[in-house]
Amino acid sequence: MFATNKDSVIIQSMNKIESVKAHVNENRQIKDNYYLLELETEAPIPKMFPGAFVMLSFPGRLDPLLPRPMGLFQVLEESGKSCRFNIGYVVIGKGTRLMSELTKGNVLGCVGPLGNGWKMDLLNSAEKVILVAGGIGITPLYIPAMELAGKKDVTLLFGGAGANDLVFTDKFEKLGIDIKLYTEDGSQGSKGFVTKGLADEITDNSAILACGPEGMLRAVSDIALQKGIDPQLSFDKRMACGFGVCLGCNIAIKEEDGVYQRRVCKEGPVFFGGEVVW
Amino acid sequence: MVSKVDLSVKIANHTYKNPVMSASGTFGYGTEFGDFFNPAILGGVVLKGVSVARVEGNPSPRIYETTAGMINAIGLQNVGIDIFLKDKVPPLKKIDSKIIANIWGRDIKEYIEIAERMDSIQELDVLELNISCPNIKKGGIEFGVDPVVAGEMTALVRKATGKDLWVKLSPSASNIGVMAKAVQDSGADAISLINSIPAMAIDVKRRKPRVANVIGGLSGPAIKPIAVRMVYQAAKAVNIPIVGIGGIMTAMDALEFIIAGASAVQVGTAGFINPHVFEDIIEGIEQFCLDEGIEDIKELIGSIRV
Repeated sequence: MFATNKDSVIIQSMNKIESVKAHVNENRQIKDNYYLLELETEAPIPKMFPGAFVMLSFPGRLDPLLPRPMGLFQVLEESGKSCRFNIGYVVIGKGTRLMSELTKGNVLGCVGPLGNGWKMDLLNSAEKVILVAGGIGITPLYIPAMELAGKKDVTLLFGGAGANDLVFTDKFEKLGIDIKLYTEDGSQGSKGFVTKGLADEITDNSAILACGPEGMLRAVSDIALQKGIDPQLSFDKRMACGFGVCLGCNIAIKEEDGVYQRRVCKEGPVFFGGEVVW
Repeated sequence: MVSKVDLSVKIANHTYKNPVMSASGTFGYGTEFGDFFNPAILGGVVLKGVSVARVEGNPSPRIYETTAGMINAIGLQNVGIDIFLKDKVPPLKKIDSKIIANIWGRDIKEYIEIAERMDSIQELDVLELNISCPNIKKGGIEFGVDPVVAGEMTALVRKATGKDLWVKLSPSASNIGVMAKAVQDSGADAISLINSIPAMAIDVKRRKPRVANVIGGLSGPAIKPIAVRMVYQAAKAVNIPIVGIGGIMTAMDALEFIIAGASAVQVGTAGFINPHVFEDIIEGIEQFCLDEGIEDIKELIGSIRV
């Protein structure tokens, strides 16, 4: 429990954040439990960035109490007055079930943009970028795919339990990137985990961005590190605030002089596979 | 017609511009909400608990949402007194409000050491003593459960500091009135309560506790009626000021605590959900007073009609 004194300041996200109301423009069921939610903020928020997330809350409700962290999917319009964006989500519990019942005109609390996103500048020198997604983890990879398509060799490896978990593939197809699908039950694409074909995709000058369940992130990290590539992994953790004060979303990170608990919301959500203590 | 309300309250040697404060462990080291509002609007800024050594805290998962509440088992993570003094205290100069440092230790010696080291720091106005930590020497039982131990500790820390000393009580005390009296008689200037309530939640399918530490502390609106009751009982038992804490989400919630006997309140979990809630609560209290023709918030303290 007690680590040695470390004479350093925890790195803080330098991004400005704001707390505003956001109106629901559209809440559309995509497939099974997967939904696409378009929101428009009532007031401007600082500029969104690839890999950012927002905390969405239900004003006035005491149950569910806490806001939900949701990864940015697409920025549709940013102006000095508002931000129109969408997120993809899957119904897994009380909060997301309530979200699925939202209709146009409903209002949510929205804090964002949060976290340190994908380190896009580190991709400049890579010839090939491999995006690895598990289930709803596909959404934070859309903006990087869009920015990189046509400029680099981009491959998306996308997996889920079954065909119903492979959502938003049409949006990625339009970008003209290479897409390989995997399902555990074999109902679509190759049968097996998304990490099955990863080792074969990795070239000497590849970079990897991955988002999905923790087991998948760990497998991606193990495979990539064996090939000498340190992948960027975007984590999803339960969090109460999203801006660094509740200290609930910790993850163990290896640093030069020891292992430290770091916040997924503030130092993350993107960490390098090589620094994560699983 | 009342056109202006005096929201200021007095607790021991300090006057606070209004009765709304942050709660320890939910507001970082005072500057973290700076993107949302100026913390100087608060009556007092209560900082995250600091110990002698840096503490990394508990493994993940640390939090779990329950009905109208949340369980947390952060494990008192903090930077330790050295980094606190070097990095966290200087920015507090810019906050034009009262600063309350929350302190804790693994044994009485550490409590005294931290109080002594903070005593000379002029940016800090008050020390809030967290006695809800496990007492390692007494088999892990909380210091805050036993009035004799809590009283001894209060007396020793009292000698170590000339600053206002608040003692933050645990809801685990079997008789909160006896506990409140014990710390008052040992030199506390004020009492804050309640800390989070020891609680558990279980993942039924996996037969696993929801937080890695197994037991955590319940906070949020679910605990408010218990907290109001304990504030009421503590206020009846002592004549030093009370600071009420526990599940405050709105101005009306805060007013319940004040009417039950609290001179001020601390807001914690609510700030996670709506970082602007502090402003809403201050404005809401003022509006209530205007509507009710109350010129001075102090008229409401302990004004319950039983």
